[in-house]
Amino acid sequence: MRALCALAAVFLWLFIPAGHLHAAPLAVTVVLSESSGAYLEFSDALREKLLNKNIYLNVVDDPGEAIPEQGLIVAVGMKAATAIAGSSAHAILNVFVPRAGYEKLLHDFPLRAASKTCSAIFLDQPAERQVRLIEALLPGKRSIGILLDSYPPDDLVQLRQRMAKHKLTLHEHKIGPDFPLHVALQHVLDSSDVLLALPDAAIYNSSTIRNILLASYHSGDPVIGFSPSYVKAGALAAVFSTPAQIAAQAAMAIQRYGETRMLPAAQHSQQFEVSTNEQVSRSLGLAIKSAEELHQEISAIMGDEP
Amino acid sequence: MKKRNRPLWCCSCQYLAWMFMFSGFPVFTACYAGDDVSEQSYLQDFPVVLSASRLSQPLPETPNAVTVIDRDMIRASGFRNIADLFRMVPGMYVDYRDGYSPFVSYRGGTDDYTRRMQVLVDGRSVYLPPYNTVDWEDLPLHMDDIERIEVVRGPAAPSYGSNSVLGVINIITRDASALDGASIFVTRGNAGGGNGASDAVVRYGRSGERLDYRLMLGAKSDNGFNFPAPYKNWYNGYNDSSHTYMANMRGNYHPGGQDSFDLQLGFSDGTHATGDPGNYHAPPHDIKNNSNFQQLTWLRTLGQQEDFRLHYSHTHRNSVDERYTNDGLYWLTDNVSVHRHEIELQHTTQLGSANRFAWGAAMREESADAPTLFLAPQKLHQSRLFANDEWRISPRLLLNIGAMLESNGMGRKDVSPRVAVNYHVTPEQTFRAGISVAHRNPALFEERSNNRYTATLEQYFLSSGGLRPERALSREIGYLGEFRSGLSIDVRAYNDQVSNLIFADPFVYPWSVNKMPSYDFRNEFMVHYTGLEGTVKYSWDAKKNRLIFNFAHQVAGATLFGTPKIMTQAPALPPPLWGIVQGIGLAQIQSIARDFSASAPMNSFSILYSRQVWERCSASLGYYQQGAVYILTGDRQPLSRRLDVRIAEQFGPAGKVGGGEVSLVVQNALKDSSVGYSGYLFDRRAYLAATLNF
Repeated sequence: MRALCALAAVFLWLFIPAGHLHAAPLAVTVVLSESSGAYLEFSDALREKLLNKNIYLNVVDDPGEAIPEQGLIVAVGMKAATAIAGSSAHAILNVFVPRAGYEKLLHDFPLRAASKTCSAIFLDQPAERQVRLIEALLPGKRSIGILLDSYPPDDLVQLRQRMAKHKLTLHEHKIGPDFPLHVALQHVLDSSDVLLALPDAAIYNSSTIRNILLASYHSGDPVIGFSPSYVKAGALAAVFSTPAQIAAQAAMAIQRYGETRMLPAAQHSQQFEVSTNEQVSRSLGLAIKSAEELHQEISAIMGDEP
Repeated sequence: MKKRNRPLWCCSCQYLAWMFMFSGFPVFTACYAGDDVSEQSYLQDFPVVLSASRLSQPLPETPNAVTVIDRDMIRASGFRNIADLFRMVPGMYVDYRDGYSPFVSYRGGTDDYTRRMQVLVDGRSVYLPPYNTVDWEDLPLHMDDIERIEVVRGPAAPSYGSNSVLGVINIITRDASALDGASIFVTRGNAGGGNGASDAVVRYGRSGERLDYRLMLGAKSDNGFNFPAPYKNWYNGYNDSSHTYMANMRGNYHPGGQDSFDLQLGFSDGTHATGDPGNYHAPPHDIKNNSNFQQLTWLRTLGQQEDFRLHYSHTHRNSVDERYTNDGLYWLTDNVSVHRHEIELQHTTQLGSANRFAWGAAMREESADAPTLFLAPQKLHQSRLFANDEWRISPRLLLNIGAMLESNGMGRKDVSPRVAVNYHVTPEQTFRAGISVAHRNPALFEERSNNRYTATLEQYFLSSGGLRPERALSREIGYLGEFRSGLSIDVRAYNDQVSNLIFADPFVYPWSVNKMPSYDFRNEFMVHYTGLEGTVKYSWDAKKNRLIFNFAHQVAGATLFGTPKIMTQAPALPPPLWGIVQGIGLAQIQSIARDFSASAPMNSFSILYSRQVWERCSASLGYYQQGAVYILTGDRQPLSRRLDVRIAEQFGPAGKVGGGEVSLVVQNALKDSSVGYSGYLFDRRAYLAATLNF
């Protein structure tokens, strides 16, 4: 009798459609690096997107907390991503991670690199998008300056290639013990029309941003940032993806995982926003297009993005 | 390579030292260090840095014509004195009475005490009582402290406050954060013969997370001008050498995102030789001037589009001028001690998407203790309310409308309104039309003078008081083109009328022993100015070459109204003599009306060409020509021409320790016989200057 029951169970497992078998809610655990600001904005937006999608969402705000091995883990930020990569979690979707940070993670945890159940949505924008923003925003300015310290070499290669492709001249100034920031900044402002801020925390941080923006403004050189905060502070413009936009893309990946048990390849956020500072553009005497026009212009030509 | 002179965060410093603020707070407060790649850079929140009041209007949107003198121009000009910089402003006239007494005048009515322009240094008025003039030589400010100068050509009371009658000079010094390290600057030249001219300036600055500061210590000495014999006899043997010590400090403390506190302190101590042996009242002696100021500006940012600015300043100037008459019989003093306290609150905000609105209030207390000029120490309390709205009616059309209501402390309240329309025909071309009214309050000396030497029983000035402010009505149309090719054109046609012009009116003081004319101040003239002026700039070859051409053509005239005082006063002498004295006095005042048209150059122009010869070498040529001028004190300044040449070579690592620049400046290189109205000869002079970062 016991053998008969077992046979019946195997029969049912073989012939019942897969969808019915997966009808049980997918367990998704969102692990936040911090329980604040953009992280919570992301988890709230994700919860909203996955409402009534037969997904059980659990948000954990301590990366050190024990997490279930099964189900999908969404690691939000590098701290969570590093903690989860080292755990026994089966499937991981990393968000709020820069591309270079994710590459480093895979390097540190090579087993994850081979897995089809580890992926990411990058927080940074593709270089092409940045370059196209500059072109659309300031068509007359062809000389772009950057300050470097610990900016990832691969990202720099990408940026150089994209600048060259668009025939923009890139002036690189690497700071160091014998080339301090204030000297490098002066050089870059002297040699360039635009200062492109890069996510290089040794250069652009709360200690330095005030003087960088003031010096650039007094030189008449606009700064292009990479987050809305830069635009608020005084940069001319920035292209970025909001937590809600990343959450929307993450929600799609989660649903796909629920259906296929596969995650899409690691990628940049498909949705993005452009923000401009009209007061700064006016004061610098720059006639620029509206953020909506710029977004449309960049979006319209993004089809050929690699 | 583009070569522009930006805030030069020059000199020595170690990267880590720069990255740590003065008070020792670590820099990396919100980021991962080293090669960790984190999302923090993307999520970090920053305070608003470029808030509403930090963002200046671009030239195509200003309600007045504005000339900007930037650091590149300052450096290329090779000028050693701040006053000379205004030779690069169309329509502005610069001259010297002697080696340390420059005057800067816009329009006409030029005399030793030019007093119809407001002059501000970082919002602090340096237009000081009792004469309401600027002591350019004793400003605790070195040329290299200046970030840029905005010269507003036309009345601008709603934006710049009291006494912005014919224009405003707005000197903006470098930020506290502009210097990180130390440098020394020295100059040596042959000016005036003898010991020539020497300057030495040491600077030190630090920049940090919450505190930036810079310090300057300087000394300058100058042998003045030569006064050759063929000119005025009374200047023969005149000694106009001077030496001045100065120091200034600027510190900016910005503890959080919202607040910024900017403290500035300055001090200068100058000794100016004056007098000549033939002058009874002023044989050779020294005048000792001492100035200091303190100012604090608190900027509270409430968002990208709104901030409050509270500004307090105190300025003190003390001048000691004591000597015996040249016969040694009488002790004469012309000492002056002046204080000014001023506090101003300004609120700037965006109203809807189309209006940027700035309004505020200010109070000022001025006091002057000058026993020879006044019977008793004088004090004045003034207050004002001001507002200006920048209304963007459409993307092409901008309306600036504003007014200032001022109580001048002398019983008058006046409104100074301004309306200007800017129309952008294309993004590169703008037409501007504006009309404005501004008032100049009588100077304390004009309103309350009792200027006499008791010892010699001489009365020079005696004010009857009750003066009305001078009222300027200005109408202008302008065109501004800024083209991508590197060409910019700024042209302006204007008609200004100044009524109630205050001028010295001769009369005979009844108790005068010698019955020589004394002077009252009265609202005596109405004057008008009509002119065309402009600037053409062109830069090419990636800005390695830069050409600036300024020109101005003006006609002026004056009408005497009312009856000169000498014609109405009771006879102070027996009839035949009285008639002669009246005739002399009347002729004197009529001559002012007649010669007023010549009190500004009819034509003037200047050219500044600068070129980057090779990567580390730059050269520039400046040519300045001013037409003949009649100085209203009765002197004539013939046409003056001058060609200045500068060549500079950088050495060592740019902007770093061991780096610097040497330069040679030759002024009046063609040795045109340039003679000042007071009879001095501006001969060819050369300066060698060097800067070293250490």
